Amino acid sequence: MTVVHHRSATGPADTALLVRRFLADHRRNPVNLLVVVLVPVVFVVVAAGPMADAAKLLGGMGVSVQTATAGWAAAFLAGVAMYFQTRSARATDRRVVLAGLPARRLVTARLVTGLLLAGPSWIS
Amino acid sequence: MDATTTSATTGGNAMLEADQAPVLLASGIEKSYRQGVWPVRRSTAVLRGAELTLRRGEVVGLVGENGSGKSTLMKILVGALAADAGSVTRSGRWGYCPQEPVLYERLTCDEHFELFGRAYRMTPEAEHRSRRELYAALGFERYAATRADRLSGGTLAKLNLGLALVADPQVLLLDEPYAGFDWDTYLRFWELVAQRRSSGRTVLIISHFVADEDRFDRIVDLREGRTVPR
Repeated sequence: MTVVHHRSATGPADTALLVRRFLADHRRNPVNLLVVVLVPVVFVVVAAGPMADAAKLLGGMGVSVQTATAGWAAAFLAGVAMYFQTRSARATDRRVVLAGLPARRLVTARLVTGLLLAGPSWIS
Repeated sequence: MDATTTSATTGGNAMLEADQAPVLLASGIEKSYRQGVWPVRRSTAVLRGAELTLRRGEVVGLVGENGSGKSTLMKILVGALAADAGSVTRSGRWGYCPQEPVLYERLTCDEHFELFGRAYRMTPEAEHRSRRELYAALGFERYAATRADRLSGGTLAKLNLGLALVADPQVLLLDEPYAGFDWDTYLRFWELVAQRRSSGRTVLIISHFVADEDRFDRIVDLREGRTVPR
């Protein structure tokens, strides 16, 4: 018979573990990797030019618009990636919360995961 | 999955009372599902005042036909679904095994146990020990590093059950836990249940049929939304 010893709650460690696992889950989906790299590049190459031209017509700086476009692409992708990951894992997330994980900690981990997913998009 | 009740009694009587006190008490549970949109909205009553009391060291079967509301009642008992009426009181730690495996598709068995161990607030040592025991008891140790989406249906069912058992909870709520098991695993499952019963744990097993009635302390039928002792 197993004797279970319970530890006191360690929020940051739990959140860090969740984030690592969510990132692993994301990394193991090859479609995600493709999207995180490919879409920002396509976004910048295809959309940045016309947007920069439009900005110049309006009196703005073209280069800053290109930078902003990459930023929008990163934000868009992070949002899309997070949406699909969270949606597909909704029932399991719920089960983990029912098992005793504070919901706030799970939400924090999902948000941190989303921010970290935005990183590669910015770099690319 | 913790809830606590307090008692002011002491001594031998207190122990006896603790043994007889319900670890789960559900009364007057009602639930309806609404379908369609106004003005053709329909309401289907699934549970009409279901009652259930579980005591320490009991193995109870909840049996009903397909669509009788067994899983709905189970979800209400664990807090995954809100009842329209009635109350549920739980005491102690409890574990829940849903009917369909509810898992992170691309995480391995080990990673699942690690995450759920954290959720149950187990120490890493206790979680590792419990994980090893469950792998051995259910016979799926060789899949420890295999992702859930690459497991067979039977192994998924073992992992699904293992996650409910890992913290050795006082109350186990299992929804069709052996649906995907082969005969050998089915027997191992009942060994696990017997071990838990002998250590005072309570097990509720939901099924649409009961093959081995003598393995249960009592069986409750769910008919027309109400629980009926057999």
